[in-house]
Amino acid sequence: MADDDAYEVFFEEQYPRVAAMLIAYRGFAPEIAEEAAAEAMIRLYERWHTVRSPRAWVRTVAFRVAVGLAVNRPDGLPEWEVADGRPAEELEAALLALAAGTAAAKLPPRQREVMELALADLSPAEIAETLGSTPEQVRGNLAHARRAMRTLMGSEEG
Amino acid sequence: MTVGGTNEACDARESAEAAYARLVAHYSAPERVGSALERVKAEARRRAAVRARGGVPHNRGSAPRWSG
Repeated sequence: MADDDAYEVFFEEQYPRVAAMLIAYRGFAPEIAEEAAAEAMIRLYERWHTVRSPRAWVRTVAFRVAVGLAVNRPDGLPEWEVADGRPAEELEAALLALAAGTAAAKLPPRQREVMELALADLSPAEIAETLGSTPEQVRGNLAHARRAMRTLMGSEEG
Repeated sequence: MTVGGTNEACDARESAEAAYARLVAHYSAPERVGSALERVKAEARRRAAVRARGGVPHNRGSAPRWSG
């Protein structure tokens, strides 16, 4: 079970942001966003000592839960699923996350955190808001991280 | 994905960011976030108790609704 104090601080800071992200940036209905954010937080509570990057982890899980809830509703998924090809982007991001997992683990802590949030499909603005930095700093961190990962993945393949 | 987006895309993005900020404030209200935290912890403990009895907790359906 979780260390309650640390978990509670995390919850109070991140639950509102996860629910808000699902509604404002992903277009889910509020009731789905609230249920998905809560479900992700329950699963995080059960794994609090083993999840390495809880901010990225909880957003990824919440998004997947929200998709699962939305497909079972009469009004279905938000329009972006059909309108802008996001499923393909999500799949690509998931595949990249799998391929890049080992390399990302070797990045410096800040770059790793930024890259994991990017792989969870957060925009630079969302990542900046999550980490308390600016979008410009996030873009800089991402550029450094991508260069480092290309080198790491290239050296592992070779 | 569009590169060098239109004014409409910029407006939509600004609108999303304004909505995001408004929603964060909404869900951060002490009574709202406190209530959600208590429900999450209670549900996690319920699932742990089910597992301790050898059962398989359902992740959804058995969970309380979160509106409010």
